[in-house]
Amino acid sequence: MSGEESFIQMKQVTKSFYKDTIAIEVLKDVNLEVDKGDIFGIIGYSGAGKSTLIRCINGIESLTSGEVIIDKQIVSNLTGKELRGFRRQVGMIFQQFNLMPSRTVYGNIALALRNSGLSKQHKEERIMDLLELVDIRDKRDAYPSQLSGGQKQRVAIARALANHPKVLLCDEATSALDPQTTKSILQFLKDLNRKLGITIVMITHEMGVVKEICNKVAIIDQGVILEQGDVFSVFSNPREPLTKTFLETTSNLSKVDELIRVNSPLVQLEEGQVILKLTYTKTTVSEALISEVSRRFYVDFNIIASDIEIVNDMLLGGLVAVLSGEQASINQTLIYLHQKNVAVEVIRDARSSDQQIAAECV
Amino acid sequence: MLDQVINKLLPNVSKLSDVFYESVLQTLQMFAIAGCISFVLGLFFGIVLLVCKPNGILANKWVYYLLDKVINVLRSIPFIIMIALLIPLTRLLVGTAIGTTGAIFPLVVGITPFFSRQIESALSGIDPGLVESGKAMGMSANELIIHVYLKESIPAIVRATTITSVNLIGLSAIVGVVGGGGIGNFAIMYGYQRNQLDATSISVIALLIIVSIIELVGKSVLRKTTYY
Repeated sequence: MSGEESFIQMKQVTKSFYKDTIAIEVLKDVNLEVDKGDIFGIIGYSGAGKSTLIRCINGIESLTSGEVIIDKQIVSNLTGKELRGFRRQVGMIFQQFNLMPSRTVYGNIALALRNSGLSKQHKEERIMDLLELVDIRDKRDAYPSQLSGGQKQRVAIARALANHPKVLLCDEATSALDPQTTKSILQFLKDLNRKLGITIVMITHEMGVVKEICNKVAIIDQGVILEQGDVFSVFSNPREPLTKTFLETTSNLSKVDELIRVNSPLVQLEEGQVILKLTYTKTTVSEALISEVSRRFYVDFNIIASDIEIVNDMLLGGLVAVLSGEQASINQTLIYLHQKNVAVEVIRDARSSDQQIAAECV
Repeated sequence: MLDQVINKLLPNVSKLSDVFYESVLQTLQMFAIAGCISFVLGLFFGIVLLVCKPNGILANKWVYYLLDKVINVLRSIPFIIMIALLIPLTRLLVGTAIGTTGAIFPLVVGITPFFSRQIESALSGIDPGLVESGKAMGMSANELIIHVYLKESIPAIVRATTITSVNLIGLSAIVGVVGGGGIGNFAIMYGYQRNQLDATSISVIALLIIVSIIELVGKSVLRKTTYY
C-alpha cells in the first residue's frame, strides 16, 4: 500500500437487488484493497454477500454505486466489448467447476481461447502447456464426467489461466472437494501465486482455507466488511465477534470452555492453581516461553489444550494450561507473560481472594 | 402367392395401391417441408423466449411478454379450427388452401408455437453456472447462445425435436380432413367416407411405421450426442 494505488480497489461499492419494488441491499459501502501478488481471502457465512462481491470484481454483477478499479482500469465503467475483453484478463473458478459437459478437457480450454487470436497450432501448444501446468496432460481427451473433483478443478484452473490473466477469482473453489483434494488444490494455487505472480481473490466460508494460503483477509457479514488486513494481524488480534467465531471454528481452545461448563475432571483445580488461556499476539512463541517461565519462577505448566498454527510463516494461536506453584511465583509469571506480549486470560482460579486482586492489578 | 394374400387382406387398398403410395409420399413431403421451416422458426423463437425472459442474458420485458402471449393464444386454438381460420391467409401466401401445398402453412403455424416452447424449456435446463462461466470467459450474448446454450443442450433439443416430429405427423394427418392430402386424406376418403376398413388400417400401420422411424432416429442421435 504505502501511498501507492492498490492493484485492485473497491471504493464505496454498494449493490442492491430489487424484488418487485423492494430493494435488498446486498453490499453496503464495501471498500477493499488488494495488492499485486496477494492471496486475498474474503470469509463470511452464506448469504453474507461474498458471492456478489467477487462477481463485482469481474463485472458479472453491475454495481449500484461505487467503483471497482483493477490495475488502474475502472472496471465499473466498462461496457459491451471492452468489458468482455477485460474479463479475459481475469480468470475465475467455481465451487461446482462449471466445465462444459459436452466438451473434452481440451475443448473446454480451447473455448477460453476462442478469441485469443492465436493460430490453431499456437492454441494447441498453449493448451498442452496449461495441461502440463495443472498436471493432467493424460486427460486431454476425457469428458468432465470422467474426471474426479480435483481433476475437474484443475481443468477449471487451466481454463481460467488460458489468457494469462492478472487476477484469479476463486468462488468457494474447494468447498465441493474432500479435505485431501482441498489441500492439494490450495497448495497448487499457492504455487501458482509464487510462480506466476498472479493475484488471487478467493471467497470462502472455511477458516482453514484462509489460514492455509491467504496473506490478507477480509471478514464480511450482511454486506459489510467488518475488518480486513493481513491474516496474522487480523487473527492474532480479532476485533469483531464474528472474527472470533470464525477463529474458534478451527481452534480447539474453545473446547476448554465446554470442559469447564460440564466441570470435567481435567479442569478440577487444587488449592492455589489457576487455569490460563495464553494467546500469542507476536511471534514470541518461538522463544521457549513455557520452559523459560517454568525454570525462572519455579512454576509448573500442565498444558491441557493447545492450538498453534503457522500462518504466513508466523505462529498463530495459543494454549490453555493449568499453572501451579507458589502464589507469589504465579503472580510474577502472569506479569512476565504480559510483558512478553502474551494475552493472558485467567479462566478458572483457585487462589485465595487477596491474591486474585493482585492478579487483576496486572 | 403374395398378391393373393394382399388381395385377401386388403381387398380395397390393393386396387388403390398407387393412390396410397402417393399419399405416403405427400405425408413425408409435408412433414419434411413444414418440419424444416418449423425447426428453424421454433429454434429462433425458443431462443428469443429464453434470452428475453426476466433475468435472461438479453432480458426484454416487452418482447418476452408479447411472444409469450402469442404462443399461448396459438397453442390454445384447436388445430382443425386453426386450419379453417387460416384459409384466407394461406390462399394469400401460397395461392391455394388445399392439397399438400395448402397444408404446409397451417402445419407450420400449428407446430411452431409448440416447438418454441419445447426449445425454451430444453435450453432453460442449462446449469446457470455454465452461463456464468461463459460470461466470466468474456463471451458475448451470441457466443453464449451458440457455445453454451445450444451446444450444451443438444441432447435436450434432440428430444424436443423427436416429440415435436411425432406431433407433426399427427397434425399432417388432420389436414387430410380438409383436403390437405397425405395419409390422413387417404384414410378419410377411403376408410371413412367409403367405409373401407382396410384403408383405415393400412393408414394406421403406415403412420405407426413413420413414428417408429422418427423415434429410432431420435434415440440414436441422442446416444451420439450425450457425453454424460
